[in-house]
Amino acid sequence: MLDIQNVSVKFSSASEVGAVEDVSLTLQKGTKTALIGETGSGKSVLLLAVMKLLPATAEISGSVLLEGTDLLSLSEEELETIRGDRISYIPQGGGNGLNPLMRIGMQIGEPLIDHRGYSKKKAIAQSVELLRRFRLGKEETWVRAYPHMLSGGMRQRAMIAMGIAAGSRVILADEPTKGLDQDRIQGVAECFQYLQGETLLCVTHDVNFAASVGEYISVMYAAQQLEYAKKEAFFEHPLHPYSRAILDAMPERGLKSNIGFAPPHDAYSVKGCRFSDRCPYKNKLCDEKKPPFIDVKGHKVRCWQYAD
Amino acid sequence: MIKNIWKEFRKNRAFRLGVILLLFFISMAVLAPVIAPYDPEALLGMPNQRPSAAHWLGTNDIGQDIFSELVYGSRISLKVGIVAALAVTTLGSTIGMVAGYYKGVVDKVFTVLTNVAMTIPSLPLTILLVGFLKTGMLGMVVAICITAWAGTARVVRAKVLQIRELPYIQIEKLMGVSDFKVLFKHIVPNIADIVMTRCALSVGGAMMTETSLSFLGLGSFTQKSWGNILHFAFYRNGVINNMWWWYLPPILCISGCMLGFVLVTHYGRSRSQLIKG
Amino acid sequence: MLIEAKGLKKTYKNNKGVRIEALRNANVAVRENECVGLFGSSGSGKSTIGQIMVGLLPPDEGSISYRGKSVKIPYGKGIRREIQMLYQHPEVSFNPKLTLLRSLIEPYQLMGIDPSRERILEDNYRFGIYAEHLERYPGELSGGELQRAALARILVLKPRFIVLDEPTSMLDAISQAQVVQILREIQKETGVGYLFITHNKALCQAFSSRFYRIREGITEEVSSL
Repeated sequence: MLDIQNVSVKFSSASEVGAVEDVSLTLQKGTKTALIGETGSGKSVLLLAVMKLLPATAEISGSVLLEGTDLLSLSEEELETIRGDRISYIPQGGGNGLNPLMRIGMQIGEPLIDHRGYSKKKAIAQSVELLRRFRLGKEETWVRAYPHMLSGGMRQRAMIAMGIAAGSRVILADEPTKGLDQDRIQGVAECFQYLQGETLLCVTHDVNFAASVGEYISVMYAAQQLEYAKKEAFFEHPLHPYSRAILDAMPERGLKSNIGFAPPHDAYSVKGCRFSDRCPYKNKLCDEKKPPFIDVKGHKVRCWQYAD
Repeated sequence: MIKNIWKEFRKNRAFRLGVILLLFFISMAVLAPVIAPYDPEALLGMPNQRPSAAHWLGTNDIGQDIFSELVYGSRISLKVGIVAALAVTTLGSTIGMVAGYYKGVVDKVFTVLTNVAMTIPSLPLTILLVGFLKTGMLGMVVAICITAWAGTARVVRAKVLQIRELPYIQIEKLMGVSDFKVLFKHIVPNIADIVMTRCALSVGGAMMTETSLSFLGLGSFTQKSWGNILHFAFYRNGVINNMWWWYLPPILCISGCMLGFVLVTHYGRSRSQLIKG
Repeated sequence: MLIEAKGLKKTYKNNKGVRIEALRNANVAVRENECVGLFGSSGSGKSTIGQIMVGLLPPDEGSISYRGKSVKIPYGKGIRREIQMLYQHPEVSFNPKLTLLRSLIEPYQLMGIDPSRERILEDNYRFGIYAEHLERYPGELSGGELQRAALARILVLKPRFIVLDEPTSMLDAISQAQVVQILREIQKETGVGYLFITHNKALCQAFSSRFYRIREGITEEVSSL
């Protein structure tokens, strides 16, 4: 459905470390993938690169195939017919992406008017139907409300409804739970679970949220993808030392802090493994040579431990 | 700082045009004695001449060289504009800052004052004040100041109200840092960009007021400003006789100068700063 | 008892002039060397309790006693520095126009300690703040780095009580565990008392030894969440 191949992003050719380095992700039709990483790991930049929403100064390489079409090679005009219609992007910021002067129903219905030629009335009726999918109750009242009348969690759900309104089959979501409290995170998670048939790529720093939404988990660190696996495999047998540290640090699993502090974003070691200066298992090779992305029976990991 | 400005200059077209316009007018004011071919006050014989090689923009009704008047006029227009804008901005920012930071009764009093000041039509009041005060630059600056501070005060107050609730200000209060230090070390630097923007816009506003007053004959007659040239062009039949070389250049100068001040406020609004991390 | 708030009530007017009862009856007590969890969803009034106990907001009704003595808000000079707060949003916990070093110097100046670079580096080492961080602006540092620096900064004032207002909710799992780890170590060394405000049940249970639950402005001490 969506095939991200060797995508790299650099903001200035001078710096050796890019914002995203050689990331490949294949999203099968109807699957949900959660992309975990700390701030600055490059996960949000990756989403923007896929949508081709980065400023002109960014150098992007690789390819992004949406049902065979390479999005990166399309012109801005061609992309505009695809964005919102076949692929949607839900930006971060707890629903601040909504227009404050427009009723929710109109905003959700807008892509339908733009891409499907619906009348205003029909679009609003359709947006009630969309909200019903999320089982929120009182959908008719909702569509008449303005964004400021809703809580952060409700706004975020309205954004998701907007994303799928025009029948977009691929949804990219950037930190949909940032700043929300746990009940509301739960609400957003349910919202994504009700999606049937849509393909989802969701960027988050919340591991629990990733677990409840994703069928596949990908981990990014310092611009590189370190691990990719099915959810069960990832949570039961994480392979990368970084992934293990993340899971150990979860309050549910003991809140252990057993690796060092992260270096500043531009101070990672360039030559070897990005994680080596915090890794408890590192050896000489890790400092000298970049580890490849190794396939261990369908579970991919970027670590020398798993090289033959 | 200088590096950032240079970067902005290269990337931001609006800002670049603004800077070029302002540099043009400022160098005109600074280098007036070098640029102007004649003494603007000198009576050079033939009145009402059309533009020629000797008098690029002709001469006025008493035989003064209009181009020289225009060049020297930039001095008065810019001086009044800049001095008045600095005064307006200082007064407005101080009031806005105090009202926004202390809230409560202080804020209520200042808000009422601001609202009153904003509802009074400013040009008639300025005219009235200029009538009462001494003519000349000082009177004009004071009059502009009294009528124009409210907009800046309002914008600054809104920004300070927002900043004072941010953790970094609250933490200062918790540490027991004095209000004076919080205001000047932590709030001022964070409102500096909007204060500067307001200041640049105020220069344009003040120049316009100065021009209007001079045009109406309420400016100082001894010093030639662009408004002053317009005044004579209008009242001594320059406009009726369609002597465009007399009334058009000061209008273009004022418009260009105001445009320059508006455009430099586009600093930092280029599209490239959208994305971070 | 280190600090005790009894019968707190607070009513706000929102911008439409509607009265909102943020706190109806809040009672919270924290001992020395203790981390007390205050668990509630957003809008429950938990942050208002923090604002009151730290001395930024006077309550409409109710009293606060600190080390056995009744105290009034705003707090007087003697106890002002002993009660501090760590905020939810590290990215706005520092003046964006100052380098980290210039912000870190402030509490030293207040305490009359010589703020030499060496001293600051030495004090900040355990927080993972090194020489390479000092000349950076807040926008160039990560949430975890800023939150650790924010903690280092208030500890110079030798606080006895710190309100932790969801200090890890914006951080990734590893940074969260690191901040909690440091908070625990500091408590062991200095006996500081914490009020840990959170909406994260698992974290609250892992970090706190006693819990209050707050619903619609009323607190209740509970043995488990």
